[in-house]
Amino acid sequence: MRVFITVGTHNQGFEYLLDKTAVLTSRHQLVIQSGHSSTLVKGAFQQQSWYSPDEMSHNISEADRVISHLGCGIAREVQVLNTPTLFFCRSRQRGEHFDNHQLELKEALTSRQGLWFYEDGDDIENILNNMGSEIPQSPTNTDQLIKAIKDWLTS
Amino acid sequence: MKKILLVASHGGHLSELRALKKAWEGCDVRWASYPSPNSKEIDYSVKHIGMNPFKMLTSFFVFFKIIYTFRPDYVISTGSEIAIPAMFWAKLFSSKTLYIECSARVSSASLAGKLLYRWVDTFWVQWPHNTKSFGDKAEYHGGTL
Repeated sequence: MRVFITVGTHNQGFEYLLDKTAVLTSRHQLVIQSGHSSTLVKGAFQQQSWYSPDEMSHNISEADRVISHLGCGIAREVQVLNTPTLFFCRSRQRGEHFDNHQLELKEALTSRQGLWFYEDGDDIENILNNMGSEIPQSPTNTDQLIKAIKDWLTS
Repeated sequence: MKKILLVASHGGHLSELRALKKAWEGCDVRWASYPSPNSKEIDYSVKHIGMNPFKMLTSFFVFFKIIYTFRPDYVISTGSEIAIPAMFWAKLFSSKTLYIECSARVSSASLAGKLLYRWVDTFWVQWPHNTKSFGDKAEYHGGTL
C-alpha cells in the first residue's frame, strides 16, 4: 500500500506522528513530508521536509491512504481528492501546537465518510486495513462562501 | 478593475484562500504571505511573524509599504497573525476589509480573530455555531471544509 504521511507547515515538529507511523515501513511504501520535525524515518520510500502544492496534490492523489496532522488545508485537500485519511491531532501538552484546536476540528469532522482519527494506543496497521472502500467526498459549503465573497465585493 | 490584496499565513490559511479563488476572478489580485515551498506564487513575501513582538512591529512597516504602493480597494484574509498589520493599514487607507476566521476554529476564537474582530469591516466564521465565540458582527456564509 502506498501511504503519504504529512505533518504540514506548522513551525513546531510532530515527532509523535512520525514515531507512531514508522512501524509501517516494513509493509508499506511511505512518502513522508516531515516539515519542522527532526525524526528521520528509516526505510521510508521518500522523505522530504517540504513539497510544493502541486507535489502535495500529486502525493495525495497517488496514495492509497494519507496519514496527516489535522490541519484545515490538508483536511480539505484529501476530501477534494477523495483519498481515505487517518488524522492525528497536534497536542499543546506534547509541544506540537500552541493550543488544542485540532481537537475541535476532529469533533466537527468525525462523522465524515472516509476520514479516520487516531487515538493513543490504536493499532495503525489495523486502522489502515479497516479503512476499506469509504472515500471522502468534496466539501459542499465552499461555493456558498465564494458566492458570499462575490456579493461582498459588489455591495 | 477592483484591486484586491489577499493575505494569509503559509500552510492551511493560504490553502483556504486558494480554495476561494473563483470569488475574485477578473479582479486585479495580489497575494501576501510568508515564504515557503507552498507559497511560491505570492507577490509580497513577508518574513514570518509568529508570536514575536519585534517581528510584528517590523511587519507593520512592511505592510505600510504594500498598502501604500498597491492601494487595494479590498483586503481579504483567512488569518492568521499576518492579517493584523495588513488590516491595520488597510482600514487607515480606506480599503474595505474582510476577515474570515480559519476553518480550523470550530468553537473557539483565534488570537488574530479576537484582535481584528472589532477593527475590520466584515467578519465571518466558517462554522455556524462559532459566531458565539465573537459577537453579533460575526456571520456565517459557508466554509472551505
